Amino acid sequence: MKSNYGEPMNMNKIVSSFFCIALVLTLSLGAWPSHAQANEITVYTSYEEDEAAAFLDAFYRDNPDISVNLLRLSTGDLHARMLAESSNPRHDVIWGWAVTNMVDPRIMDMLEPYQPEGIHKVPARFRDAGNKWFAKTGYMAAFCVNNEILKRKNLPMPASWEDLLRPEFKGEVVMPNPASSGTGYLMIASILQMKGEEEGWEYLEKLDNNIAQYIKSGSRPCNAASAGEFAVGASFALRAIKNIEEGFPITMVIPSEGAGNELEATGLMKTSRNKETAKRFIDWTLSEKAVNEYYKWKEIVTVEGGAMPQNFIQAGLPQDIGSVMVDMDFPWSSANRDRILDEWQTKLER
Amino acid sequence: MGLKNRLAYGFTQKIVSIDKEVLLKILVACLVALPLIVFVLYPLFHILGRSFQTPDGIGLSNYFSVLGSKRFLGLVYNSFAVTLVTTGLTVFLAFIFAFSIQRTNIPLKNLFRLITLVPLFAPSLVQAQGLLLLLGRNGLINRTLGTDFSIYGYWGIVISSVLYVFPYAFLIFSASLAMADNRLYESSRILGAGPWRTFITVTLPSTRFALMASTFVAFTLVITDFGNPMVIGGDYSVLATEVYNQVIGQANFELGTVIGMVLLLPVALAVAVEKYFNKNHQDQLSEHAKPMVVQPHKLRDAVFTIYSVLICLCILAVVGIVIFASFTHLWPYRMDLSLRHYAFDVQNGIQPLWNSIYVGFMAAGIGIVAVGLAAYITERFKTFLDSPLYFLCIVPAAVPGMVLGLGYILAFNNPSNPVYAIYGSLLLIAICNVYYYHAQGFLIASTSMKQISSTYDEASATLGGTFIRTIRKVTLPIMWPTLVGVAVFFFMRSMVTLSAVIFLITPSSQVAAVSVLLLEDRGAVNQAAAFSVCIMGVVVAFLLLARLVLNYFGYRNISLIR
Amino acid sequence: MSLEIRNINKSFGRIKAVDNVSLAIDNGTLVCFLGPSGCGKTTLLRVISGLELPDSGAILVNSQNMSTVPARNRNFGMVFQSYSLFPNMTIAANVAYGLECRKWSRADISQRVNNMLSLVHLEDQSHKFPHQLSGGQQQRVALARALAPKPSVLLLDEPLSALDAKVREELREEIKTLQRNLNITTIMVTHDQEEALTMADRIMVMKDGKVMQTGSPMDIYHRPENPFVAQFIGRMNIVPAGIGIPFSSNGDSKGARAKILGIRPENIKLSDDPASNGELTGIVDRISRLGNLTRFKISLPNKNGLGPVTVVSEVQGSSHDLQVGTPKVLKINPETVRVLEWG
Repeated sequence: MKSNYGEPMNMNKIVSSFFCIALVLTLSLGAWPSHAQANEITVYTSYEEDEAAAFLDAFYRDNPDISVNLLRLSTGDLHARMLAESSNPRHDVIWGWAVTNMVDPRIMDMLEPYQPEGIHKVPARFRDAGNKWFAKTGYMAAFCVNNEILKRKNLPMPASWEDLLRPEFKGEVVMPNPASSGTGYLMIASILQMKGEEEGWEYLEKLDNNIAQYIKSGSRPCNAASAGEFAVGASFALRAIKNIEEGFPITMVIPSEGAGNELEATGLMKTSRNKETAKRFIDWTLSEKAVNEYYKWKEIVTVEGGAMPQNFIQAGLPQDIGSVMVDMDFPWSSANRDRILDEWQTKLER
Repeated sequence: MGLKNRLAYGFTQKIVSIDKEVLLKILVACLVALPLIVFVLYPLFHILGRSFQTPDGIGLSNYFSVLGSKRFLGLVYNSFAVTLVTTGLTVFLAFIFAFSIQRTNIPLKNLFRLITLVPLFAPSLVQAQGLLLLLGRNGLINRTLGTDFSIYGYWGIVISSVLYVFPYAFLIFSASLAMADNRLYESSRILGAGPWRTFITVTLPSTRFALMASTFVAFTLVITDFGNPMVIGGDYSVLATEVYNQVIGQANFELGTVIGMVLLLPVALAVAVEKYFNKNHQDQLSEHAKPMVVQPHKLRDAVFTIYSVLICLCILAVVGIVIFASFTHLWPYRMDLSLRHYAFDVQNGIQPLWNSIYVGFMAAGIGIVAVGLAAYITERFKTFLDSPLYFLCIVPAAVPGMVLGLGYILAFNNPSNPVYAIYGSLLLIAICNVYYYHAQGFLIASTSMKQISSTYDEASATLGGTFIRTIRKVTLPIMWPTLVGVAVFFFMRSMVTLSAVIFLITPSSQVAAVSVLLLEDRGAVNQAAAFSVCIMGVVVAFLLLARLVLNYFGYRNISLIR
Repeated sequence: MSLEIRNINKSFGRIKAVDNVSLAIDNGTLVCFLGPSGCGKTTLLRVISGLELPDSGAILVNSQNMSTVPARNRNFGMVFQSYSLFPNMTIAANVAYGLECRKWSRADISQRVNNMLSLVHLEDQSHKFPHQLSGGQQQRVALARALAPKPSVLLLDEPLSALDAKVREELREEIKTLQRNLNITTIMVTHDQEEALTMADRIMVMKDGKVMQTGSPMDIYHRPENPFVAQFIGRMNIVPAGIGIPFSSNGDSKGARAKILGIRPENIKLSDDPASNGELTGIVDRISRLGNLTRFKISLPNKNGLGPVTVVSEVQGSSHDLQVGTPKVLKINPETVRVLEWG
C-alpha cells in the first residue's frame, strides 16, 4: 500500500536535485576567483594582445611558479581605470605603458622607486630620475595602405602626412582618436612638435577634411585599412608588419616627415600586496630572454642585445630606425596632454 | 486603510501574538529586499552622489558643464534621432511579422519564428558585426556589386538596432496576438466588416497594450545600447557610447555619471509610463473566449509569406555572415575555409568563454532564488511589504546597464565596503547580471505564479502545512518548469550582455561578450566573429538541453525564449 | 465541537467585506452562509479558516479563542471551489498530505487514506493524478483530504458551484450524508438557495457584509424578516401594506405600522366568488404555463395613491382555462402574509 500514497518519485527527485545543482553551482563557482595567492600578481599593460601573450609565454618558461593576471587595455582606457581604482589599486605592476601617461603626477604618486637587476642596460634617458619607471620598448607611427583599394580607385601611394591632404584621399583616411588611443596622441603630439603648434593645428584641421573616422583604438585603423574598409589607416608600425604577415594586401608607409613615437614604461605599484613576486617579474622584463622577445615584436627596443627580425625589414622598416623617428619631447607631450586633447576635442572631435 | 486598521488593531489588542510564520515571512521578504537595495539602489545613489562631486565640493557644475555644452546637445539629438526612428521602424515591422505568424496561414511558421529569435542568442553587437561584413565599404555587397556606399554612421546604427530589438518587440506582439477572442471576429464579420475594418476596429485596439509595451522596450534597449553604435557608428556618437568613452577612455567619472543620470531619466520615464498604463491590464481575455480561427485567404497568405521570408532573410544574412566569416581564412581576401580563428591565440585564449559559462550558471542559480522568492513573496505573502518590494523588484528595468556597472565600480571598489570581498570576481559579475535583468526575470516568475492558483498554498495551510513545507512539497514541484525558464533567461542574458559587465571585468574575469567587443574594437574581425559564434553555440546548446528536460517531463508549453 | 464567531469585521480598502458578524454554531450542525456574490460570505469563511486576519473580532472553538492561531494550527478542514488538489501528487498523496503534516506514522497514514477514499467511493483511484479525474471525483478527493486529519470543523467554500447540475445534486446528498455520519460541525458557503435549503441545518443570509437573517431553512423560507431575504429565497410578492391585503401582524410591531408586506405566490388563490370584505379584485395580465405549475400576473387597482401594483400567483397544475383580462378575486390567508418592514 505504501506506493499508493507515495508521491511520484521522479518529480520530487527532479526538483530537489535541480535545486541542489543550482545551489552547489552557485556556491562553488562563487568561490572561483579567490584573492591573490602567494605567487600570483596582477599586471596592467597596454601591449597589444598578441605581443603580450608572446611575452608572457616566455615569462612562464622561466618562471613556472608565478601566475600573472594580465589585464590588457588601450593606453587611455588603462589610464582611466587606474585613476578610478586609485583609492585601492588592484594591480602590482604597470607593464609596457606609454611614458606620456606614466609621468602624470597622479600616476607617479602610485609608483614605488625600484631599480631592477640590469637597469644599467637601459640608457638613462629612457628611465625616470627617481627610478619610478623605465622604458625598454616603444612603438612608432606608420600608415597601413591598402594596395587593392589604391589600384581599384587609382590612388597614388602616400608617402607622408602631407600626402594625406590630397583631395583624392577624401573619406579614405582613418586615424585613432587621441583622447583614447596612445597612438593617436603620439601622432598629434609629433605633428605639433614638428610643425610648431600654430602650423600643426592648421595641418590637423586640413587633414580633418579627409578623415573618414577617428577610431578609438590605435590598431583598429590599420585593421580597417587591411580589411579594405578604407585606403589608409594611420596606426603603428608593428600592427602593419603583423598584418602584412597575416596576408593582408597592405603596404607599410613610414611618413617621410618622421615617425612620431612613444616609449612603453614599466613600474612597481606602491600598493602591491606581493612585492617580491612583482619585483621578480620586473627583473625578468630586463633579462636577456625578455629582450630577445622584444626584438621579435617591437620596432623600438631601448636595450642592446638583439637584431631586428627579417620580416620587419621585409615589411619596409629601416634597420637604422633612429633615422626615421621624430625626436619626441615626452615631458612636453605629457605636460600639455590635457590642453591639447581639450583643443582637439573642441576643434575636431565629432 | 486595511493596513492601518490592521496595525491599529495590532497595537490595541495585541492580536498579532506574533505567529512565528509571520516573522519568518517578514524575514524572508527582507532577505529578498536587502540585496536589491545593496546591488541596485546603493550603486545608484553612489552615481547620483558622484555626479554632484566637483573639485570644489558638492555642486551642480558637472551638470552645467555637460548640459551646457554644444557637443552634449548634439549627442542628445543623435541619441533621440536613432532611438525614435529605430523604435518606430521596429514596432511597425515586428507587428506585421507577428501578425503573419499569429493571424495568417503562412507555411513554416515555426521556422520563421525560430529564425527571428536567433539574435537573442548572440552578443548584442552581432548585428553591427554582420552588417559591416555585409554592407561595409569593403563588405560583401560592395565587393560583388562594385558599388561604394558606406554603412558607417546613422543608418548603420539604425539598421543594426532594428535587427537588435526586433525579436523583443516580436515576442511581445506575438503573445498579444495569440490571445484573441474569436467571437469578436465572428461578430465583426457577421456585421459585414471587411478585413481592414476588422483589423482597425478589433485587432488594433486589442493589441494596444502590446503596442505600448513594445514601444517602450524598444526605446529603452536602443537608447542604452552601446555595442552596436560603437562598432558601426563611426564618428556618429550617441549618449551611450559617450558614457563609455568618458569613463573608460577619459577617466571622467563625474561627466560619465552626469550623462548616466541623463540617460536614466528617459528610460525611467518610459518604464513608469508603461507600468502606469499596464497596471489595470491583467486579464483582457474573458474565460469564455474562443480560440482564434484564421480564415483562409490565398492572396493575404502569399503577401505575408513573402514579407516573412524577407525579414528572415535579413536576420539570417546578418547572423549567417558572421558565422561564415569566422570560418574563412582571411576575410574578405581569402574565402577558403579555415578553423584558425578558433585557436583564440589572444591573451586569455578561450578562458573568457568559460568565464561566461560560469557566470551564466551562477546568474541562473542566483536568479532563480532571488526572482523566485521575490515573486512568491509579492504574490502570496500578503504582508505590508508587498508593494514596496514589488516596486524594488521592477526598479532595475529603469536602470541602463552601463549606469549600473558604473555604480558598481563607484560603490564597491572600496575595501571598507563588505562587497569588496567579491569585487573583481565572476560572482559579482553574475550578481550584476541578475540585478540588471531582475525586473524581467521577476515578471516572468510572477506572471506564471499568478497563473498557478494561490489556493494550493491555502489548501496546504489549512491542512496544517508550514510555510517551508508548502514551498518544498507544493509550490516548488508546481513551479519548477517556470523556474527552469527563469534560469534559462538569466543564463542567456548573462552570455550575451555587454553593458553592465564591461565596467566590472578584471584580468581574471574577462567574459566572452566583452571579448567580442574588444576584438571587434581593435579590428580583429574574424576572431571577434569566431567568439560570437561560440557564444551562440553555447546558448543554443543550453536552450536545447532545457527544452529536452522540460519536454521529457511533459512541459511542452513553457516558453524559454524571452 | 461548537464554533462561535464574535463581532467579526474585515475591510479591504474602503470596502467593508464583513460587518460586525456574530454567530454561534452547535456541534454537528451544518450552517450555510448564503448570499449574492460579493456579500462577504467567502471572506467570512476565510477569516474563520485563518487564511485572512480579521480587523477585529474573535473566533472560538469550544469556548477557546482561536483568533491568533494561524490557519495551519486551527485543525479546520477546508474544501475550495476550485478543488485545489495538488497537481504534482497522486490522489493518495493528496489525502495523506495533512496527515504527514501531523507526523502520523506511515502505517496509520496508509490506513486512514484508504478509509477516507472508500468513504468517498474512490478507493480504486488512489494512484491516479488529479487531472485524470472528473470534476465531481476531484471534489470528493478534496473532501476526503480535508476530512482525513479529523478536523474539528469543516469549511466548504462553494464546493459544488464548479460542477454540472447532475453531479452537483449527487454530491449534495453525499456531503450531507457524510456530514451527518461524522457529526462534524460544518460551514458551507453558497450562493445557491436550493443548495442551502436542502443541505443546511441553519442558514445565515448575508448582504453587503451584514447578516440579514439567521435561522432554520423553514424559518428563512416562511418567515423572512426583510424584503431582501424574502426575495432572495424563493419568490415573494413585495407589496406596500397600504394596498389593502389582509395580514396578521407577525412579530413585534413595536407600535409601528406595517409598511411592506410579503406573500408567496402559492399563497395567493384566485377565485370567481364575489369579493367579501377586505378581499381584493385584480385583473389577469399574463399567464405563463410551466408544466405542473401555472403562473398568473395580476394587476391590482390603484389605491391610496400607491399606483398600479402587480402580484404573482402560482397554482399547481396546468388545466386552468383562464383568459387574460378576466377579473379575479384574490383569496389570501392573512396568516401567510409577512410584514417585512415596519414604518
